[in-house]
Amino acid sequence: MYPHERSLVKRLEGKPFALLGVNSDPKDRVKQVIKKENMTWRSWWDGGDTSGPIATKWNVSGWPTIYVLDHKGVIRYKHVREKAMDDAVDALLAELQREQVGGTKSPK
Amino acid sequence: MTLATCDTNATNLHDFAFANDQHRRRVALMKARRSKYLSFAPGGGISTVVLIPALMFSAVVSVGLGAEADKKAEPPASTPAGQYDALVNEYQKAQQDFFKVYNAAKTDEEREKLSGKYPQPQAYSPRFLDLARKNPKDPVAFNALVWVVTNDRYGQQVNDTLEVLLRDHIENEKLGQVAQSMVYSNAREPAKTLESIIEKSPHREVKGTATYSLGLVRRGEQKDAEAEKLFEQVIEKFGDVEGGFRGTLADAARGQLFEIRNLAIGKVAPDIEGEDVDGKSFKLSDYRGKVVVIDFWGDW
Repeated sequence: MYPHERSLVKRLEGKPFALLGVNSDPKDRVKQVIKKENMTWRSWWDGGDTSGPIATKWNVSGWPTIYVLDHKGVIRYKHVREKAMDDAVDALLAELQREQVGGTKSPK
Repeated sequence: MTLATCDTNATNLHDFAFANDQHRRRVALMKARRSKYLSFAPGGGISTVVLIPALMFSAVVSVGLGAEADKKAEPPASTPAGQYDALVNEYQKAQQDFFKVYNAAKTDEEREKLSGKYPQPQAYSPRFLDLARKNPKDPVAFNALVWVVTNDRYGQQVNDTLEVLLRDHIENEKLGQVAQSMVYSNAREPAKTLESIIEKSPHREVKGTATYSLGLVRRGEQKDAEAEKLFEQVIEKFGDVEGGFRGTLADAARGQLFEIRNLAIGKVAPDIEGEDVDGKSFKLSDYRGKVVVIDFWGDW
């Protein structure tokens, strides 16, 4: 997971994209992992175990669980991993770009 | 093996059986991986899970059932109960031997080759079924049939075995585990089995578990409207029954309803507000305008 996520974040540097984690580990452990794995993206710390408030509200009972949201905050993909996750993000970024290009055209 | 480990495995079993898609099964596996009993090698576990989730599922289930048997004094080998325990132990031993070799493997390639050698529950099912046939009045008959249904869920025997369970053991108060196993099963008609259990079981706990499980089956079939009705029934009638991932069936059903109603594809994601590991707070809505991946993760 980590190397894949690192490369996704690196590849999309400067694009309108963010990877956000919700972490269910004890605090000292997650601090270590973030350092060791050189995680540049942010994570909410969800209380130290799998019954944290965010995971509970989102009905998460399997880890990792992935949601992909478009720029309007709409859930567009769930449970995509690896290449499927990359493809989902790329598709949404392309959609956003098309919208922006379309939106900046001066109306006639 | 300590009792604490047994209990952990029983919980894993429960989480596992109630998991409603493949990803969710993983958490129980991850926990099982930490336990002494399955003794996965550190670092090797994640690919284990990816490689053979279905097989691993069987492993966790049988560990759970075996753990229960371990808590009692061992019955003499000549009794049906003794024969049952011997069979369960034989299968567990085969699993342990497999994992010893599997964990020693160095590469994914080696592991993939080995995954075909996982001890197949269907090879053991005929002996459990034989034991049940020879001792129809002994409580062991029920345990043996349940072993087949919960372990050999992808095998040929599951339909016939379910028929016998529903015919001869519908009043058994432990039928809930059969209901749970229907969420992942190659049984011909898991929904029909669950409907029979809901209709005919005299036990509230069993009915509740079956109703919740049927909700999960309906979700799996993309029938969310039916699933919603079932989860509402669970909250109304069986809310206090223990089960699901976080406490009671009401908690579990509320979680499912929230997910159906607010976390489906096409819905605006509910905001997340919280602190990072350094205590700095931030919100999901801060990232509006960007494409966002939310990754619920843990280092296990």
